[in-house]
Amino acid sequence: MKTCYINSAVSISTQDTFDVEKLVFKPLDYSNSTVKAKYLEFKKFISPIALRRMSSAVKMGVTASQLALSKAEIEVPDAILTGTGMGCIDATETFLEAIIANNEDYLTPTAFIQSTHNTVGAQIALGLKCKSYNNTYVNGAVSFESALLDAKLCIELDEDNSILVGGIDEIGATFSDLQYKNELKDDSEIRLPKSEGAHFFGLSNIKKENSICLKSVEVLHHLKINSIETHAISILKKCGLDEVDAIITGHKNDEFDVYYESLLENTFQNTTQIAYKDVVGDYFTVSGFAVFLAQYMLINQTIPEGLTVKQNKAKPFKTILLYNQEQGQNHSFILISTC
Amino acid sequence: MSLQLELKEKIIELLNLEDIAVEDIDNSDALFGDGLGLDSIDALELIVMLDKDYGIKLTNPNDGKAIFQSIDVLANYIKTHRTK
Repeated sequence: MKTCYINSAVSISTQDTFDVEKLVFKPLDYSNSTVKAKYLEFKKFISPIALRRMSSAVKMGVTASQLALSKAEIEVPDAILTGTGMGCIDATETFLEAIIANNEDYLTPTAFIQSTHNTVGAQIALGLKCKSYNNTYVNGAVSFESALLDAKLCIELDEDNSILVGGIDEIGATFSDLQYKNELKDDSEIRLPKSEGAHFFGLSNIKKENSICLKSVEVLHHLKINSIETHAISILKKCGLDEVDAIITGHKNDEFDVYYESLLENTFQNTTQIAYKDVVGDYFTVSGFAVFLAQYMLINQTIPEGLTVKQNKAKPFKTILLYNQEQGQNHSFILISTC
Repeated sequence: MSLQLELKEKIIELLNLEDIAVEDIDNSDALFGDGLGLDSIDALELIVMLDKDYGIKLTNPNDGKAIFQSIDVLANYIKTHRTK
């Protein structure tokens, strides 16, 4: 079985994360229930003719993918695998609103074409003229992880040599607000804003200068709260490890944070613990940011400023475990390490 | 507002031509090909716009080639055929 290397990691998020040498995070704006990503000058990356039809998810995804391929020295990948929770929700909203406004008549093609969940993966393939395996996972909070798992298996089983993997989500004009109102119920305090972003990675079976190893990806729909620690330990054991140097968790400042606490209170209580959603907000594929962050930490051997860190042991980072869940379901564990 | 100006504003907004202003479009400029560079998806958007805003139903999309030659040609066609 071949080793799966992550040879590049690119992030577009609410912070300055795109193609920067040093990551420094600023506090997220909690005055609104939604926070947009920091949009780039997309004209530098995408032709104006293509750009005018693209929603922000497509713009972010296509741009991030270009840099991920370039950094990984991949011209045309053997597969393009994307994950998205809501797909191109903005175009979907536009299309659905047009249906209502025009009494199911006068339906225009652009929003319909752009509204499908696989638009980002398709646009990347079109731009590269790549006719290889192309799949988009739409599995809620484990959409990105599902794409990553597929890529890992393809590399390990020698089906593909190089794969582009990404997670993308955008904020729609209406849906995110409705989603937030539903979650808040009677509590009017904004615990964590909804946000958006795109994270792309160049994976390969060839080790390069700044490669890190993707050791394990596990996705579980159900996991009892008292089984989380045991499960995490079993993942480490399968990879020949007794401990990790850091754990990155998806704390959201809500009642489901107890799942993270159950992982961190015993075996891993003295492990460096990092939470990240308080600086980038929340969306279905935000775990892509966690992988980007872990890759940065392993390569630069430092934790970026502005993150919530507990038990910082200030020792070299060789292995990092990522754990995320959404409302007590859709648990994901990702283990990465230096090579 | 002249119909030509109205059409230019609608086309810019409808087709999301972010970098183009009304002044950039000459009434005789080709809308497709070497002119504004519109394509077949834009043609479908324009066909829907004709139906929705002017009550003109193009049953044969190929008719669009002649009708969408330029702003002047389009405006003349609308003046002759509009039902609203």
